[in-house]
Amino acid sequence: MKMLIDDQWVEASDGAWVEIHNPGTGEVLDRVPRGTLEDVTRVVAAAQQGKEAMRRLTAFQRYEILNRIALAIEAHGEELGRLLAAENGKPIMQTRAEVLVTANIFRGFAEEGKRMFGRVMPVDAVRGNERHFAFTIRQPLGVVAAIIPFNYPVELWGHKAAAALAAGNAVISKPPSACPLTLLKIAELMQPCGLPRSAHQMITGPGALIGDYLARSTGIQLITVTGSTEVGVRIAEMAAQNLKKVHMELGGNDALIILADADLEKAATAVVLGRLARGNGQICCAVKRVLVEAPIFEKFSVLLTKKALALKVGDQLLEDTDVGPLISEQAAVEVEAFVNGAVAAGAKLMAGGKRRGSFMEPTVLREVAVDMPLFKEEVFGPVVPLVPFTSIDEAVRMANDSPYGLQSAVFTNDINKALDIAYRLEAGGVIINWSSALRVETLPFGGIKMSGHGREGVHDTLEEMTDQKTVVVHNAFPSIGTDEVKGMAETDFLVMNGISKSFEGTQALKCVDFSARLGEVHAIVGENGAGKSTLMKILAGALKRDEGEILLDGAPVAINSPFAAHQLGIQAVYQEFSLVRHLSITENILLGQMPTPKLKWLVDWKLAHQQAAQKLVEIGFTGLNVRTQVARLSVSQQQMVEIAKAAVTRPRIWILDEPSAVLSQEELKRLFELIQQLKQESALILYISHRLDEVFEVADRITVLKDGEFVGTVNSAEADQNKLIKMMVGRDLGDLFPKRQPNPAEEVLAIKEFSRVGSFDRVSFSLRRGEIVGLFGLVGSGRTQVARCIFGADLPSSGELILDGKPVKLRSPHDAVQAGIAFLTEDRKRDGLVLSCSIRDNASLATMNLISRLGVLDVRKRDERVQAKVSELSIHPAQINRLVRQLSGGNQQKVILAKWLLSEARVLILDEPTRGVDVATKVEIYNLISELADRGVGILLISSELPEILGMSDRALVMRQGVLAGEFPRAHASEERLLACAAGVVQ
Amino acid sequence: MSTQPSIFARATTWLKDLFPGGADGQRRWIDYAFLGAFLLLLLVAATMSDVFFTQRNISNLMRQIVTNGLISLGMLVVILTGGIDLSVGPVVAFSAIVVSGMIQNQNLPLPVAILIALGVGGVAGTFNGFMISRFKLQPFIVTLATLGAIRGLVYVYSQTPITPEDPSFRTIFSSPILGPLTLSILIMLLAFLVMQFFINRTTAGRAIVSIGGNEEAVRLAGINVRRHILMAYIISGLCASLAGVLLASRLGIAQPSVGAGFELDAIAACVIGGAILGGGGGSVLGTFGGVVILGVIDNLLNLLNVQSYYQQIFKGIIILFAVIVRSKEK
Repeated sequence: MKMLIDDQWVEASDGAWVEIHNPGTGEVLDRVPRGTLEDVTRVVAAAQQGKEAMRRLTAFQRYEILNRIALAIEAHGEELGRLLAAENGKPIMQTRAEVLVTANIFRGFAEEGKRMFGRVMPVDAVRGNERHFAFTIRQPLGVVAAIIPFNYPVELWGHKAAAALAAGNAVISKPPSACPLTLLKIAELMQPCGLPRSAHQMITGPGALIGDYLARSTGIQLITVTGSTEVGVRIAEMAAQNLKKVHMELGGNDALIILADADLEKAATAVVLGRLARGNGQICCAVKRVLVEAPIFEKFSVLLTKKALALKVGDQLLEDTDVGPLISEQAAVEVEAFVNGAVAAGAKLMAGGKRRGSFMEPTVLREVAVDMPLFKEEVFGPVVPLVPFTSIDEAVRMANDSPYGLQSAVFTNDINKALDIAYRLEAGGVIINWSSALRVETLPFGGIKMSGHGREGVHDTLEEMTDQKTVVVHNAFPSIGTDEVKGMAETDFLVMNGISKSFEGTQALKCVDFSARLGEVHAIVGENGAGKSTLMKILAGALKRDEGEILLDGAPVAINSPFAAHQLGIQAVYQEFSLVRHLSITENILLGQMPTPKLKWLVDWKLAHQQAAQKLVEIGFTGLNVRTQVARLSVSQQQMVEIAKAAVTRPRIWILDEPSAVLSQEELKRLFELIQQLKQESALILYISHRLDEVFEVADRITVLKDGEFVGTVNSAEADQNKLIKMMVGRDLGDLFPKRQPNPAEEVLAIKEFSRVGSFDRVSFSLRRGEIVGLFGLVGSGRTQVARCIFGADLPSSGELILDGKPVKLRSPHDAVQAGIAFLTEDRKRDGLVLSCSIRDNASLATMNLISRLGVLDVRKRDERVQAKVSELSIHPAQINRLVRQLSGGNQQKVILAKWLLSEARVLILDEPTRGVDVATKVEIYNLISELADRGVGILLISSELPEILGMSDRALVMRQGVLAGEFPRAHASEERLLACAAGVVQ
Repeated sequence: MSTQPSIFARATTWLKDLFPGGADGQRRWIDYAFLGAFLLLLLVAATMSDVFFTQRNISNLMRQIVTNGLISLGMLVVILTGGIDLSVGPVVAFSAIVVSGMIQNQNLPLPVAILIALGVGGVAGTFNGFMISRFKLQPFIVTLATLGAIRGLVYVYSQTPITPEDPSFRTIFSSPILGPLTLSILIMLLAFLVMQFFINRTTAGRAIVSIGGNEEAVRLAGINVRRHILMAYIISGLCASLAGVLLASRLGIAQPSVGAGFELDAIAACVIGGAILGGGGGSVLGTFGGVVILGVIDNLLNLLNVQSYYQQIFKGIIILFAVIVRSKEK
C-alpha cells in the first residue's frame, strides 16, 4: 500500500519500502513506503491548503462527511477487523469491535461538531464599556498532526482524526510503523466521502524522523500523541520551540485495588479482561498492578490463576483466541525479561511466564516486591503482579508511588471507601468496580503526571482542537445607559453623602451632599464657619465624620486618618504648612521617601536633590535651589514646596485650601497653570477660596456651603459673582442678637494712618464710648494685626493712636492695659488662657495690681471678685479653683471675658469672641457685649461671621488685603454688601 | 455659736489655704498616695536599720537635706516659669568659697561675708535671667554656659580649699536650737514657708506660675513677663548661694569642686514633687516632699553601707516612678 499525500497515493520519494508482518506467523502482509524528509515536508505543505479548504466548510457539511466516513468504516468492518488482527496480533474478536467503535466515534464527533457554541460576554458590567458588544467564537486550529500508537491504532486514530475534522482542521496522520495497513485502508475508504483536498493525509515512515519533523514544523498547530512517555517528552520538547499546542497521552502503570469486601469473581474477570485477554496486555490503561487486601489475597490469586490458565493463546485470526502475539518478537522478549527478572528476585509464578516467539503466555505472579522493575515500570504484555496490602492507606500509597497516573481502579462494595480512594488516587480517571482499561468515547480520557496531559473524549477533544476568539464591536449599542452615564470622565468620582459633623455642641456640617468629577476644578466657597474646611478635612482624613458616607468611584471608603487618605490618592495642601522648617527643600519634598538605592539606610543625596529639583520643575516652579533650608524661604515659596511635596504621591484628588492667600500674581499664574496640567491628567482639584474672582477664573464648577449646609453647585460659566454671593448669604438673622438702642458718646479711641509693613496700610477709624464697631474682612485682610497694634502686642511702623483725645504710644500690652484697653484674642488656647491654671488665676490675671498691696494679694477680695464675675457670666462649673482646661469652649471664652471685665477697660477689642462657642453661650455673650456698650465701653468687634457683624454692630467696617475698604452704618449694611466689599466685588 | 470663727479655725483655714493641694487646690488621691508611699518608706527604713529612727540620725538627716532643699526651692521657681537653672551647683561652690574666703582671708565680719556670698548668687541669677528674658535664649543653653563659666570663676578665685576657721561661723548654723532643729534647718523651713506664700499669695508668684503655663497669654494680659522671669532666676541664684553658705558652715571647709551634680538632685526633687519641665505644674509642698524622700533614701542607703552607685540607680528609679505616676494623674 502507498501513503496518502495531497490526495494522491504515492511512494516514498527515494522509493524505499518497509515490510509489514503478522507478528504471530511472521508472514509478510504487505509493504508500505518509507517516508522521507522530503515527503513529510510535502505533507505539511499540502496540509496548508487542506486547512484553508476545511475552514470554508460549514458544520452541517462536516457532519455529513463524518457520517459518511462512519458508514464506510462500518461497511468494511469485517475486512478491516481481519486486517488489523493480522498486522497487530490482537484477537479478531477484539479488532472487529475496535473497528465498530471507531465508526461510532466518527458519528459522535459528527454530532458534536454541530455544537461548537461560543459566548456573549456581559461587558456592560464594567463602567465605560456598556455600549460595546463582545462575543467569543470557536475556530479550527488549522492543521493537526496525529501520531498513532500500535496498540489500538484504529480507535485511537479515530479519536484524533474525527475530532480534528469535526472541528474544521486538516489532519496529518502518522500510523504506527508496525501496523499501518488498516489505517491506510481506511484512508482509502475515506476518499469518496467528500473531504476537501488534502484535508486528510497519511504518511508512513520512521517514527523518529517523521514525528520530529511534525513536532518542529510551524505549519502545524497541534500535535497529538498517544505513545510512550519517551516519545511524548521528545515531541513536547520540540513542539515547545514554536509554542505548538501539544496533547499527550502516554504510558501508565495503573493499579487495581481490591478490598476484602469486593466481588472477587467480578474482580478476577476484570483483571482478565483488563489485561490478560485484551489487546494482548498492550493497553496504556491496562491493569498493570493488582493490589489485593491481605485477607482475600489467597482466594483471589487462586481465582485469577484459574482464569488465566483457561485463556487460549494462539492464532489471532481464530474466533476463539483470547491472547494473540505481541506486536513483535522484540516486544515479547522485553516482557519476558521483566518476568524472568522478577522470578529471579523471588517472585512466584502462578500462571504463564513462558514466551514462544512473539507469543507471551498470560502470566500471574505473586510475592512481587514493590521495588522490582516488573512492578515499577510499564510492562507492555499480559502480565499481572499480585501484591497484598493490609490497610487502605498502604494500598493508596503503593498505587500513587509511580511516575505515571493514567487510570486506576477500585473494587469494593463500600461506596464510601470507594469514593474516598477515588479521591486520593493520583490518576486521570478512576473506575469503581471494573478494570482500569475502560474507555468510552464520550468520557474525557487522559492521565496526569508522566502519563501526559489533555483529555480525549467527544466533547473535550473537540474543544482542544479549536481556538477561542474574542470579538468586540465598539459602541455597538448607542442607546445603552442614561445621559448621566456617558463615559468615564463625566461620572462623579467623588461622592459625599449626608455628611454631618459637630464640635462641642456646634453643628459644623448638617447632612451635606457633595460630589465632584475627575478632570475638573471644583471650587468650594462659603463664608467663615460655612463648613468648607471641615468638609475638606473630613475628606482628607484629618477629622472624623459623625454621619454620612464617602464614595470613591462608586465604592464606599473609610477615611480614618490622613494616611488612609493618602492611600486613596487624596492629598491636601493646607494654609498652615506641614513643612519641617529646619530641613532643606529636598528633604521636605521627599520626606519619608528619600532614595536609598544601595544600602537601606544610606541616602543618595545627589539623586535626592535631582529628584526634588525635578519635582519642582514638573509642577512648573523653577528658580529654587533645592538645598535651601525651608525656614529661609518666603511664605509663597514655602507654599510651592508644600505643593511639590503633595505632588510626589501623584494624588487623584487635590484639596487646596486658600492657596492664593500667600502667593504673588506671578506665582498665582503658575499655580493656575499647574492646576490645568493636573486637570489634563484627570485629577480632581478641590479649590477652597474666598477670592471669588479667582474662583471664577480657575474653577469649572462651584459649590456653595452656608451654615454647614449644602446650598448648590453651579457651573462657573453660567453663574456670576453676585449670584454666588446671594447663595452664600441670605439667611434669617433671627433673634440671636439683642435689640440695641445705640447711644454713642464722645470718641474714646482713634487710629490715624495706622500702618504696619506687611500687614496693613494707612488704616484710620474711630471708636466712641458706648458704640459697637464691627470689623469684617476675609482671611488675610489684616484685622487682627490692626487690633494687636492698637493693643501694643505688636508695634506699628507708623501712624497715631489717640485715646480720649490724647495721642499715646503703647509699647506693650502692659501699657495698653494700664491705659484701659482690653483685648480678647482670636485663639484662646494659644494666647488667651493659661490652661494649666484655675478659673481664679485666669480671671484675675489682668487685674492683680488692683487686688494687691505691695505685691501681696488680697486673696479674699480676689476670690470675691472672680466669684462675682463667674456668677454674672454664668460660667459653669462655678468652682473657681477648677482648671480652665476642663471647661467647654464657651465657658473658656467667658473666663477670658471675665478677665477683661474685671479690668473695667474703656475700650474692649473682641477678636472672634464666639468662635467655637455653642449657640446658647453666643447669645449670652452678645447680650453681655450689648450691656457693656450700654455702660459706656467702646467695643471693637472683629468677626468673620456676617450675621454677628450685622447683628451687633452700630457701624461696620470692612477691611480687604490690609486696607480699610468700606464703612457701613447699620442701616446701610447688608450681608451681600459687606461680603462684596470684602471680596472686592463691584456691585 | 459665736459669729466669728475661733482662732483655731481661722488658723487651720489659713494653713489649709496656704497649702492647697495640687495646682487647682483639689486634694487628690495622688497626694495621699505619695504621703502613703513616704510613710511606707519610713517604715521600711525603720525595719531595715535600727539606727534610722535615732535622734542623732534624724538630726543628721535634717541637716543634710538643707542644701538640696534650698537649691530645689530656687529651682522650682525657675521650673515654674518653664525654664531650668543648670548653674546652681557652681553657684553653691562659689558662694561657699567666697564666704569662707571673706571670713578667712579678708577677715570680714560674718554678716558682711554672708551678704557678699549671697550677692554672688544674686549676680549670677541676674545674669542668667537677663540673658533668658531679654534675648529670648533657651534657659538650658544659657545656664549650661554659666555652669561652666562660674565653675571656672570659682577656680580663679581659689584653686585650693578654704577653711573658715571662725568657730562661730561653724557653730551658729549647726547647733541645735529647738530640740534637734538647728538654725540651718529652721532657715530652710522658713524659706519653704516664705516660698509657699510667695507662690500662692503674691502677684509675682501667680504671674510666675502663669508664665509657665502660657507666656504669651500672660504678656497679653498686661504683665511684664521679662521682669518676672528675671526675678525667678535671681531667686534661684540666691537660694543656691544661701545653700552654699550653710554648706560651708556645716562642713567647715569650702572646696572649689563642691556642688557637682547638685542641679540634678534639685531637679529630681522638684519633679518628684510634681513639677513639669516646661511649665504648667509644680508645688512647694511637693518639692519639699521630694527633697525629704531623696534625703531619706540617701540616708538609709548610707546607713546600710550601700555603695553610692546603687544610690544613683535607686534615685533614678524613684524619679521615673514619680514621673510616671504623675503623668497618669492627667
